[in-house]
Amino acid sequence: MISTVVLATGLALILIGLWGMLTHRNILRIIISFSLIGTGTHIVIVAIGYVANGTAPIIDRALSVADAPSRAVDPIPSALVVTAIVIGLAVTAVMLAYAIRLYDSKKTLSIDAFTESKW
Amino acid sequence: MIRRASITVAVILFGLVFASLAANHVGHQSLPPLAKRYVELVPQDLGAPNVITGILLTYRAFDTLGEVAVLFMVAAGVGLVLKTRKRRSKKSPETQPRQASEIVQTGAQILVPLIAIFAAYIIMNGHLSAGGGFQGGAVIASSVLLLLLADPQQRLDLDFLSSTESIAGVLFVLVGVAGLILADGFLDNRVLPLGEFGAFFSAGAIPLLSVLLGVKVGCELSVIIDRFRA
Amino acid sequence: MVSNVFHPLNIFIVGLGGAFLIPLIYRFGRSWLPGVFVLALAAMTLISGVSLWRLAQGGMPIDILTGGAHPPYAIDLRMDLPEAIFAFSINLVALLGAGAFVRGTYGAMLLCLLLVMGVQGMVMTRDLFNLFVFLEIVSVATYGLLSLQDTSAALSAAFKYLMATVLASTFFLIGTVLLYATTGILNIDDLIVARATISGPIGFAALMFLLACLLLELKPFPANGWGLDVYETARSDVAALIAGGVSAGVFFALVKLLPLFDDQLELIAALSAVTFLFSNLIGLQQTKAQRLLGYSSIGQMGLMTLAVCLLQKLQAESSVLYLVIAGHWGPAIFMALWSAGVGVADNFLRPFLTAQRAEVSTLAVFVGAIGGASAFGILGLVIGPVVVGFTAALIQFANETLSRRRHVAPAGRP
Repeated sequence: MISTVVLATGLALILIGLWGMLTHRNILRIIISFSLIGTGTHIVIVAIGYVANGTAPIIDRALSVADAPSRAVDPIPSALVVTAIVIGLAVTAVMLAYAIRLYDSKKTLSIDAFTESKW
Repeated sequence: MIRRASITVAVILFGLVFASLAANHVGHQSLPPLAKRYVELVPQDLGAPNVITGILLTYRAFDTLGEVAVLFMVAAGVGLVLKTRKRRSKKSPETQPRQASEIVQTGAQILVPLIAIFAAYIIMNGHLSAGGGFQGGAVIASSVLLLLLADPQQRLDLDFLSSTESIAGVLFVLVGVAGLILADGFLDNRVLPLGEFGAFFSAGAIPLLSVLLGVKVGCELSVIIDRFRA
Repeated sequence: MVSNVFHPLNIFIVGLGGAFLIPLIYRFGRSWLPGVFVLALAAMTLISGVSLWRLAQGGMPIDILTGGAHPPYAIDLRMDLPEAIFAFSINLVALLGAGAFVRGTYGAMLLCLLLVMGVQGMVMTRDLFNLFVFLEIVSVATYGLLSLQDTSAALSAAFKYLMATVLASTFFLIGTVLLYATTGILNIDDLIVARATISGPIGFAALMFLLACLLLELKPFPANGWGLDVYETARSDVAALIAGGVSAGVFFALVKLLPLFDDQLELIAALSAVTFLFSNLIGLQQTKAQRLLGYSSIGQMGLMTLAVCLLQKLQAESSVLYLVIAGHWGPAIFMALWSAGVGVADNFLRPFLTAQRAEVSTLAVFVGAIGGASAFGILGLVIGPVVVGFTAALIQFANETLSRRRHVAPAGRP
């Protein structure tokens, strides 16, 4: 149940980000929308890994080695999401750098100024 | 008009797809077979209590290496993209960055050492509890950011950061190659002794890799932050 | 030990180690930098070449294990004959074009090296999430390299390319994760074996997201306006790397995952046929040579995708390999020609590309259409004129370069 709620939240964030990316004309808002899509994707990844009544897959006083296979949540999505977050950061940084260059060249942040040839 | 309509249609379509995904999602009641094997294997074979760090730094270490390469490329790429901006050589009063307020300056003096210690704790604790190289490296970079905010005139020693980052990367690859020669495969953590389970020095090469990762990520993020300054 | 030196894993060790060393060498021994860069590229070419030679002699495919464990617990890669051909040709093309990067900044060299390594990673990996990571390596490298061209048009084209490919990568990530949610498997070989279990809305959505990414990256019609702008405005060597290297890597990823898309083969085939047709028709009207070549590249990708789908439908696996080899040389030839003339031609090619037209007389187009139709059937109506146009553009390149060299040289003498 709870993982479905989290999953739906993540999917809703992706949807909002998609809508924002398609409608906004300001480059910075488009980049924020991409960031939203990224965050939503990460939430979806984590939600997929949840096991009912599970706890973090870390062996310590709370979770013994013998108990772990039955009570831990899925470790793989957590590992994947670390990589995905870092990659998302990298791409956002590059997009922001491009936004700065674009602003330097035409002194405007509206993407309409940058639509060039069609065919 | 057509543009607006097609955007709305596209978003509604995606919304329907996502709604069906959420509706059909059935949460797991128990671990899927592969995940179960990981939870059993990591404490047993790798000697690491934190299953996720074990996966990230040994079994799927190739992914981690790729991710490190992406960050490395972004540091260089952002430098390339922003390279031809005319650096503001004239420091007239309007273009001069504003002096930070007293709260920020005083707060930075207290917080930066605390953040650095916390970051070191997160990095070193990666194999024992929640934490790891990436997480700690990001925290170090946040302390650098605070430093830059508190003193906008501060100049980072980019040469030092860049060289440190390169050396950390080369050492990471060398540890991987050591895995090829001394242990079972590339980036195998059994090049160093597994030690006692849950001890500070245990889990083979994983703490070493965590430290290298933390240093590398911290330097890279600091370089990226610095490049965005005017 | 000798067999270990040429083990394909060393491609990644050389690529990554070399790239990490480049900033150090830049700071402490700048004159060594071009040498190290070319050496790294040459080493990767040598390793992939040796593997190709061994496999062509009938050797066994090489399974590369990492992390000290076997799949599915650890990531594995494979070097078989198709992978070796792709890897070797990309390495060779990059090595030939290294001359242009060597005179640039160390950042460009670093990105080029990692781009080449990333494409080979995409080709060799057998893990779905690893494929995503290498796709991102390749994409981020192209974002950095695209900024080398300073004009406003190039930057706008690069930003739109950025938006489209970031969206595509996100789709790939969502697809991978949903696929893991339904099957619990990340290894491609295991996924292909278990593909009957990919059912239900989540499984279907996962496959659709993966397909959407791969097709988007291959720039199908009508979504390819942004791709064309990039091909037209970027620096020629960067454009060739994207057209040849990146597209080849994405195409190979599609071929690798094609068994998962058994039910969607007709859809992919239809989309690629439309792409091929329209990009060639529009390409004929182009006046700028680099844009024409961009359309030709996209059309060729469409044709290869179409053929691969039809062959998969007929279960003819070995012909896929032939097609894959045959289709790869167009951008490679372009790159080789360009880099061969890089020393003197650089000053003349640039004004040529922006000012001249790739003029093809109507008679030539007509003759090309008839000849193509007789050779290839109905498709030849389109293939013929495009080949004519391509050849005409190349001949004009050569003509202009040689004639300008002759004109300038006498004036230059004191």
